[in-house]
Parts: sequence; C-alpha cells; structure tokens
Amino acid sequence: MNATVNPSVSAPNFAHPRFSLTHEKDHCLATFHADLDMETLIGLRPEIEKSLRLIEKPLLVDLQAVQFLDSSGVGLLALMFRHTQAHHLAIAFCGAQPQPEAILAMVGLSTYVPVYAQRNEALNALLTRT
Amino acid sequence: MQVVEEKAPCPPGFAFRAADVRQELGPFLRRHVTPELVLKLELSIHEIVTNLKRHSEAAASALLVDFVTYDGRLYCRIRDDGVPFHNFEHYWQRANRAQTAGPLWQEEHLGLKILRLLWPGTMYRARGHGEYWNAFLLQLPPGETVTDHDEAYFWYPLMKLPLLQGADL
Repeated sequence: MNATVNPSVSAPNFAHPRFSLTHEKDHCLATFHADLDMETLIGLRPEIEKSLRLIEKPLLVDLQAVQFLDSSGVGLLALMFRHTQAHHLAIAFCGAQPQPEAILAMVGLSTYVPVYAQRNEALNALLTRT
Repeated sequence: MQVVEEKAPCPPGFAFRAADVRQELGPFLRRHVTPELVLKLELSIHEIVTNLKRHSEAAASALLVDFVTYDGRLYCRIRDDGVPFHNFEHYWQRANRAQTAGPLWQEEHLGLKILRLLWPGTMYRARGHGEYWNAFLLQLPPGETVTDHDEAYFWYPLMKLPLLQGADL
C-alpha cells in the first residue's frame, strides 16, 4: 500500500493491489482490482475511507474486476455515494459484472447511482452531469 | 435426512476463506438449481460464512451445504460446527424490515437483512455446550426443484462431519 503524489493535482493518489484512487484533471477514478467483499476489505477499508475524504471532483467507480459483491462491499459503495452527495459531486459506476449488478439492483443502490457498461460512456455521462 | 453425496474438500480448519467456499460451492449450486437461485444462494451462504467469522467466539472448522426436503418443502441447509450466534433471534427480528422502510443499501446489518429478504422462511437451529453446531435452513420458493435428486447433496468434507450428520435437523 502506498500513496503517491500526482504533481498535476493537490490530492495524493492511492494505490493498492485491490484498490486504487487517482485524481484526474476533471474527475476522480476509483478502481477495484479484486472482489469487493468482507475479506477483501479487511485492513483495507480504513485506508480507502481515508482516501475518499480527499475526493473533491466527480467520482467514477470502476467495477470491471469485481466478480463478487457482498454486503460489506455494498457498504463501501454506499459510503462513496454518501460522500459525493455531501459534497454535491456526481458519481457513476461502470463495468459491473452480472453478480455485482444484480446485488446493486437488489439493495436499490443502482436506482441512486447510474451504472454504465463502459468506462468511457460513464465518464462522458458523469462530466456532462457535472 | 441423509447426506448422499460428498465431494469437494474445503481448506482445513475455519481458516477457509469465504472466497474458497464460493469457488467450491459455485459448480455444485450451478449443477442443481436455476441461475437465479445460484446467485441468491451464493450470496446468502457467503453472508452466513462471513458472519460466522465475524461473530463466532470459536470459529468453525467445518461447513456442510446440501439440499433437503422437510415437511414437503425444499430447503438449502447450511451447517457448521462453530459456536452458535449470540442472540440470533433478536437480530433476526430486527432484520424484519417494514414494507415502508427506505432503500436497503442505507441500512446497518445489511447481510442479515438480505438473508431475511431473500429467505423469509429461514429456520435457524443451534446447539451450544460442548458439541457446537449451527444450521440455517433456507426455504426455496414453492415449485422449485433440485435437479437430479431432491434429497441431499454435499459440500465440504470436514473434520466434524459425523457430528453434523448426526444432528437431526
């Protein structure tokens, strides 16, 4: 786990084998690189939460690599949504596989956060909304 | 009830990861129930296993999943040899959401609420004092059938299998 400073922006990026957060010029990109469940988040969630507090731009959450999402993962995605709501920022999910997509629908989160198949499509929509 | 088939070994001890359970369980479920039920059962069993890890005082070393017919209804039965959940009935009652409740994702104890939402006819049995075990019976929707065979299937082999098999649930 390490935090690197992107010279073009003020907030530091966050990089971990299971999760990364990069601060781009006009948005932030949160990418999960593994399943999003209780086990994956052990020891990592506090670090993710800390990095989320630095988000000040529209947030794109890439779920392409997530094959399985459980209630702990939903909790973290809900936290991301709440952060963007509190700071009046747009948010979108992209690349959701069938299981995560079904769970997001089951818990109702996808009625609040739009889910796009492709990252580019999601980014366009996110920036347009912004 | 009788376990008629036994297959994939799980990692020894409750050191098994929920991800390993899913990997072993997936093919079993896909062979026996519809894709829609696979998704629900996979998530539910995962939530039970991870809750066990989180709340059991002594972790389970064994897990057994099978399908059983009980009183004319089909259940997915999940048994383990961990210490019973503390005050389960209380939490189960609290997980009963009002129809007017807000979106599910906003709530605490989401894992249990998902279980209750998906399987309102769930039964939980446990035994403490010496020979521990827990058993969840998730009632499948009426009309659902298990392919091949309607009684019991496998999963796991574990160290205390005879104990679980002997538990008359």
